[in-house]
Amino acid sequence: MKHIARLLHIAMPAAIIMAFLYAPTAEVHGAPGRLLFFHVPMAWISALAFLTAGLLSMAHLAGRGRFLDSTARHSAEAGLAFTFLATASGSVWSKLSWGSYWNWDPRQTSIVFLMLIYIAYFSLDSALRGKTNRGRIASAYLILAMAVMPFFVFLFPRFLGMSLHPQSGTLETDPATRITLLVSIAAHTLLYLHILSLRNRTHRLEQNIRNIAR
Amino acid sequence: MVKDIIRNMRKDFRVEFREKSALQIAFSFAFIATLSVGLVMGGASTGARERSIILWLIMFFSAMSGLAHAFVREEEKGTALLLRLTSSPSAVFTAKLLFNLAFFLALQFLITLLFVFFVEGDVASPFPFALTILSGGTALASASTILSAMAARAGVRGALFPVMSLPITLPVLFAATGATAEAMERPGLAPGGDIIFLLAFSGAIIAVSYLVFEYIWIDE
Amino acid sequence: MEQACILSIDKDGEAAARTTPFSRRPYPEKTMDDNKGPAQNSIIIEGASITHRFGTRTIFTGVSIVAFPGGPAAITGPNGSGKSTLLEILAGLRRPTDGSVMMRIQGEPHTASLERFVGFASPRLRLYEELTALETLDFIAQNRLSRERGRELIGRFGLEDRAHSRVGAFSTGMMQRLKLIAAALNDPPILLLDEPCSNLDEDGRRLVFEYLASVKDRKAIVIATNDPGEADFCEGRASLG
Repeated sequence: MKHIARLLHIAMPAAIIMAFLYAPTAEVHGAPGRLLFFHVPMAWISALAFLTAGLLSMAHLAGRGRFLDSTARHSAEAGLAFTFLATASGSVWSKLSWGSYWNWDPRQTSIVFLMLIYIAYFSLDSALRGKTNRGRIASAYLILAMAVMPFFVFLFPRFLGMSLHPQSGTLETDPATRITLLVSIAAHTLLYLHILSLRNRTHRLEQNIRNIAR
Repeated sequence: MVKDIIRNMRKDFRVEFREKSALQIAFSFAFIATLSVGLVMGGASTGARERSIILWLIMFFSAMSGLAHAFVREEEKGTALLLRLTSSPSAVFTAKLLFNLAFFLALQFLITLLFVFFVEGDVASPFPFALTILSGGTALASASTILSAMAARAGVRGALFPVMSLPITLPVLFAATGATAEAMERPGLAPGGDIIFLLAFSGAIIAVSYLVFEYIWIDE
Repeated sequence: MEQACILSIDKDGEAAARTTPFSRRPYPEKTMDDNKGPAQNSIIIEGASITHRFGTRTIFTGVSIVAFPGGPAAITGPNGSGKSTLLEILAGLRRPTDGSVMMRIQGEPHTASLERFVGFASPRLRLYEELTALETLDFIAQNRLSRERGRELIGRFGLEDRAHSRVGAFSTGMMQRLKLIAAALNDPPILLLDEPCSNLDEDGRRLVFEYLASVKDRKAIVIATNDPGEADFCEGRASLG
């Protein structure tokens, strides 16, 4: 886990520097386009965090190992934070590019949908605090949410109007841009893993302190 | 297994119909909500989509007020232990699911009738309209059953059940409102893919419910 | 609270309690008795080295217990020593922190889904108040034979004139009788009873002991109790605390 921290200390500054200095200014979007180097990874991480939390939940119910339910919860915490960031950065981008913060764009809406699921999950989880079945019921909710996600994704073209998101492929034509984006995604992934491992460690320390105090 | 389910259903129907207050309150809510909304709208001209959204919101909140009862009752009266000892988790769940489906279909019938009467005079294509109501209702009832089982075990706190349900049932609300609006507006419509979508959603939720219910139900 | 008490019951029904930590007692040999039906031969319930903790509080450690037809066992101990918890663990309603429960039914060992072999009654068990006594038994009965047995047991436990009354109107004593009938209803090979005579009057107690005496050679019985009469009925004892 120390390696993740070390890599992160290199990757994130690199991503920031590259985003502002190395990558060329995008023709269509201008300077605000640089926001994309952060917005896209954040959205990607919020989805990754969700998937990870769901898989950990399944493993927890299958009984494969300890602390899986708390790791799932920590992944969801990180995921929630990233959905806020992704929505915020996306809204700013949207305001700068098209003049309004919210556009009913399908991807924008689906990140908000993910945020709703996280919030509902945390409501359930806090209602279960102190109960022995907390991990199991919270896991069941995430699994249900995972099962429902494809239905939501299936819907978006039809009901939410034309996408304002650029089609994938148009942005990545320039190699420098592409590299910067990849580095940024890697940096954000490391950030997510680092946050996850820190949360796990502090959680375990809290448990140990509580046990000793008894 | 089938016998187990029948035993449980018989027990559930007997208990619910004798202790009628929960059922009565749910029907009262549906009745009052639909009429109140109709009154508030006061004959204002609204599009089919708006009316369809209002209809489904009434249905959603009626589900919230009525469908949690099936599992919450077991927790409140403390009979969950008896169920655990005498029936398999799948049988318990199936009986509750069937009960909720029947119950919600009855609620929907009331709501739709009142709604069409007070708010929406004409439905252009009644057959797809009815199918959408039925398939959307199945989806809402299925989701509500498993979610209420979770909320009941968590010790139902106020709005926990609606908070849990809304994100999960958003796809249902999206699909159902769209299809209902179309059925209200356009005559001669053939039942469309949305109904299949809603049924597929119900199937997926029910399948996952069976997989996870045991973990929710059994408390070790 | 280090407790380990192993029941040892030999063929003549003599009980000798030896205190031996963490060792497992070998199973009694299958007794092929021509007078007993094959279904009731070799029924055993055994808890081996059971330890249970709630959070960081240890309730009991290393408890072992065995019961089989002809050799009912009692779990005794003061209030709060975990008797009900241990009984629930034996019933498969709770998973112990450590240790295991095994049931042998008709010679076949089972370690999971133990509830189906068990008739369980406890003060914590609650019945449906809106159902009548007969409807409750009809709900619990798994087949027609059980339903008929239910009617017979209702008579035997003195509830005939309340058979069609709602359980909600029952006194605690009547409720206890109904719970015991419910436990015995499907003729389970194993009976786990938590304070079976609680809330019962003299008459009720007599009926319970008569019933238990009549089935003691066919079923493995474990009773969790504070009551000396109930404990004395059993031939072996595990003491918690």
